[in-house]
Amino acid sequence: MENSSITIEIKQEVSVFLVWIVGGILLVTIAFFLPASSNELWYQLYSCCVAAVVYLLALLFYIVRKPISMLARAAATASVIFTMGCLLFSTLQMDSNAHWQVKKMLDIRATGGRGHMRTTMPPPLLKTLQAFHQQGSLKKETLAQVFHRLNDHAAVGSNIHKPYYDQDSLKTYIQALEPDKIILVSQEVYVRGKNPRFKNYNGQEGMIQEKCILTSKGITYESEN
Amino acid sequence: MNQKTDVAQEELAEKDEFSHGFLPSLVILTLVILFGIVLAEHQVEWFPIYGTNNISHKPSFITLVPSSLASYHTISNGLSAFSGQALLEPSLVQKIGMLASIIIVYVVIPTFFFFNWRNRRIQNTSVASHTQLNLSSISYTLSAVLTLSIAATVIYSSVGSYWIRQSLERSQTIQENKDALISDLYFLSLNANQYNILPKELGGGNGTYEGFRLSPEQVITRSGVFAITANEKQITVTAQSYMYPSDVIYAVINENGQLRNLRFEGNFK
Repeated sequence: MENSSITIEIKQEVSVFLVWIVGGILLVTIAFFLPASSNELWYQLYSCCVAAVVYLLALLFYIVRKPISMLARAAATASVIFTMGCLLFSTLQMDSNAHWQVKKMLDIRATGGRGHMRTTMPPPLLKTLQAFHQQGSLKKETLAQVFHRLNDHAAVGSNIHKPYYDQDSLKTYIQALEPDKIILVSQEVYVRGKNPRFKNYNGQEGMIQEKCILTSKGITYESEN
Repeated sequence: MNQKTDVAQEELAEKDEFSHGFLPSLVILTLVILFGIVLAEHQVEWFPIYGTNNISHKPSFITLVPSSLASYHTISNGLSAFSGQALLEPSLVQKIGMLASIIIVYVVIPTFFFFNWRNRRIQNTSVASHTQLNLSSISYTLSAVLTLSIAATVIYSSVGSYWIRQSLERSQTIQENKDALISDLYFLSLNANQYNILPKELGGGNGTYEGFRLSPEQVITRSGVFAITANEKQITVTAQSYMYPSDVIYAVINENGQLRNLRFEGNFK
């Protein structure tokens, strides 16, 4: 009779254990689906972390109740709180690191894009300048005519950039072709610049864009966005 | 309390802490979790959940650090943005992986451990005092190992992520400085080329670099200090970093105005 009552007590303990497990799983699962769907998993993670912290604190208070000694209680509480503090810190740090890395990647992409523009825009202009001055003091052709001749008769508005690789999205447009002035505008189609509202040459908004102006005195360079 | 009950309780405490059949199932559960985590930590791909992006430190389906899954997704999307592709929402499998990791790491394992721990404390026993290898001690040891592993991973990751950030920031600063100096060098070569092309009446060299000088803005830029030695056919350039004076780039601008023979010293190597 006594043996069976003890078995019932133990079964109650097992039931309590299972109630805690199921309760914890439910709490965390509900918390996981609370945030609206987005491109990030962080919102779900933070929501779950809050639920898990609440759950673990409740579990801790349940576990360290009497007859657990004061010393064991204090040690367990301190360990759990310290670990949860580290958990919070590491989660925040990883979140910050991941976003910092993404920002740096996009900065590198923008720097690379600008570098690409600066290496592709000047060569046709320098060739034009060289050919223009090689005519001597008596010029037969204007800057625009020389440029036109050396660049397959490209017209205003056309893209003169030939992609170097599959994902090369750079565009270099002829903005102006005047007798004594040539303006080239180079832009990326998906790399964001400083001003998100900047109106790009091709009608897009906020992409990086740089400009090269050629006159008979040389090239001036302008970073537009 | 009568004597019979006390004796029965003691016997039961020694032999069966849990009801019959419960312990084996918990041991199996623990072993499955342990096996899963070991597999996951060894980068076993359970599902092709991460598409074709090739990132060297791909987290597993289930991990001791669920935030690494969120980090991975953020960085994957960063790479997509880098190459002009659309940003993706986490897939259902990724979400399930994250939820499963959180449930196992923050709910199941700690609960199992704490219940075991409480029972042991109440019965005044410990793993070390057990001379016999029984299911109870195995399951307690496993749950303790897992819980301590989680705590150690969390503590390590909180300290490690801080130092990784410091290290990344430093190397990034050096790389940015190097890129900025190369960009300045490129502009310098452009100016030199233009000087070479322009006739003397327009302030050029008319086919030579002789007489080419740097303007004060070109000598000291935001990134570093520049010095040149020009002769008729080429210019030798030295670009020294502001932030790290031992970091230097040497280069030559050839007769066609091209930047050549770049040599890096210090951290730029």
